Amino acid sequence: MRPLPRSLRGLTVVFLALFLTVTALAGFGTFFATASMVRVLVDERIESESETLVPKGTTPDRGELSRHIVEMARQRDTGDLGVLLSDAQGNPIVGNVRLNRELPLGYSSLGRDDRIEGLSAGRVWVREIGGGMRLAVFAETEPVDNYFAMRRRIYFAGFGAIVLVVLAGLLAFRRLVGKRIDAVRQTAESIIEGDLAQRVPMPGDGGEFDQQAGAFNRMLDRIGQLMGEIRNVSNDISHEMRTPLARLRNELALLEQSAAAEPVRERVAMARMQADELLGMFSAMLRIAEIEDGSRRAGFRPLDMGELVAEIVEMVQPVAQERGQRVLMERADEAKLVGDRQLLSQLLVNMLENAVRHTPSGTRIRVSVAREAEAVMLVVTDDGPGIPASQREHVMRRFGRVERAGQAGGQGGGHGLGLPLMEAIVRLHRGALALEDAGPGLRIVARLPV
Amino acid sequence: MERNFTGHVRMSLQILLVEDDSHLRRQLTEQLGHFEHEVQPAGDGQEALSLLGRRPFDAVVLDWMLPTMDGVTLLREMRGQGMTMPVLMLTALGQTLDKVEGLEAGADDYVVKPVDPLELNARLNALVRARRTTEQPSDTIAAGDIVISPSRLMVWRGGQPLALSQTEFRLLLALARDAGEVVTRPMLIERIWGQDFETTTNIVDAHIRQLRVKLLQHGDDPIATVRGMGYVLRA
Repeated sequence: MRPLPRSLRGLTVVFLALFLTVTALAGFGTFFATASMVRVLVDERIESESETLVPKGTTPDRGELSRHIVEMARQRDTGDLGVLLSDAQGNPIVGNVRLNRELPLGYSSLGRDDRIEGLSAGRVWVREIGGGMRLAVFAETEPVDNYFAMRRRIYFAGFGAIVLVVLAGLLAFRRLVGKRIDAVRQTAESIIEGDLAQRVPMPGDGGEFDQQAGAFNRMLDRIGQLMGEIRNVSNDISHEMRTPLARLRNELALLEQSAAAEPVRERVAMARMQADELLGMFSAMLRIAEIEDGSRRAGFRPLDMGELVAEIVEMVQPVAQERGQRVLMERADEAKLVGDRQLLSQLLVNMLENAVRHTPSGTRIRVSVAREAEAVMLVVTDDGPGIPASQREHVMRRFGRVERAGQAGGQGGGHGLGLPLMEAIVRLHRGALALEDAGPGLRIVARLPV
Repeated sequence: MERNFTGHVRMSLQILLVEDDSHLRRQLTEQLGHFEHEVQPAGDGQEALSLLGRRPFDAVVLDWMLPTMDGVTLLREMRGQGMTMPVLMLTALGQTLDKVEGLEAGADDYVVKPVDPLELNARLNALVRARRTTEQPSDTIAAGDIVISPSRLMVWRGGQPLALSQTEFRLLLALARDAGEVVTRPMLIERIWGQDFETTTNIVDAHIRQLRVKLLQHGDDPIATVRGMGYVLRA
């Protein structure tokens, strides 16, 4: 069993339950303690008055006692008391009170039901005083009529007000805390979604929440700064490596063209192509960095994806045909969106080349562009070997390639940056890229919001 | 099917090279010199402007990132003074917006650094050639026994009409515009599809093979492959 709930809602409920219980107990406790104290005092008084009338151990004379009783009722300090002398059968002899029931011996309470004029609550002490007589002495327990009911109302109003104030305060507090926590959570989620510029809104009052939001935002700034530094380092490396690599590549290319290279031309060509591949890898890294930086959004223009897809399919078709594959245009809705034409062409080229390069001869590659309510769905499906679910996340990472039994790493080409580049392009357009199982084969889905 | 590129260059161009990085300036001067061009190096925009005022150039290779006067300012100044020679700009990778700005400011072409001298040479030749041919516009373009009518989307080889797909037509036209010169793969991609992309398969080569099949129906193969560079259509 958990000792305490950890959620804000659970804590609120537990606190409220405890608070209500304690308040109710305190209210009832005070109420009944006061009532019982009044009762004890009244009991002491009626006992003492009764004993003044008939001292203990004496048997009074009936006539004299009657006279005393009448007299007592006239006196100022005892005028509020009721006295009743009755015989053994309960028939009244003398007194200023009439009763509709027989009273038990000893102390008991009186209420409105006893229909005693001017008494809504009271106490009575009944004792046998010898000679077959009973003496009952009454007193009110309320200083004014309906005092009990009034007191009850005061208690309800007072404690009720406390409960209301605390409840309202608690709910307001809960809302406030909940709202702040929500703001932090929403910021965190936007960042997970890729919007790294999101920050927690600051109330600006210098309070704890303000300080916490500030600290959280400074932490995000710092993380952003560190990420930027790492990216800068890898971009710097790419830039720095490209220049000498390009010089090497250019030397090889010039050598390849020269007549003197005739005996080793094949091998020079091989070396030049390897240098090209390396340059391509660095270019892809820098390209991804440029896309991720988001500045290309400034150049977005309206375009029709359906048209673009048809063009790229025609472009890739001959390569597929030479490899014994077929590219089928399955659906090409008119799909207007605002984007970067060159990058979206690159995305389509990559999606199709990816399918062409990683599937065997005889594969059917199906392409579709579907216009949905809020997005254009770009889907390339092949019936090739696919990518196991366990590896899909891995291949989306930079330099993540599919590992297949019996296939040496790196074979099948590619620098492992194709999918990250595609994802960067899709994300620039605020969309999402997903790899799915086409059973058999792979399905790449790019969802581009319109 | 492949022929070796002979390396001989018909055009010897007067080129102004504006590049602030002395190492790259020296390297490009030397490499363009291999193609028998005469290269005049300049280290900044002011020097470039004074050189331009003194003698004519066939083309300008302009680094976009220059100290004191940047590429776009220099280019606007040149165009403002009525200089119409082709300008090829050098941009850093990942500076797409610079590229767009440059083309809008009147640059004719661009090459992304690090510069491949063969690519740079091919593009410079193509730019100068395009300037010279537009001075005498004609409806058809001829290369050897191939005649192309861009306005009518028709092609003939030895008088026989050829049925080409749209892409094949654009490919042949792209080669014919610089017949006798190497047209590189990136240039072909730009000319056929109107933009550049990176490809990881031999997309251009596959289209060339399709085109060759159709051309071979009416003669020998007029397209030579230049290894590591691109293709030449026999003039």
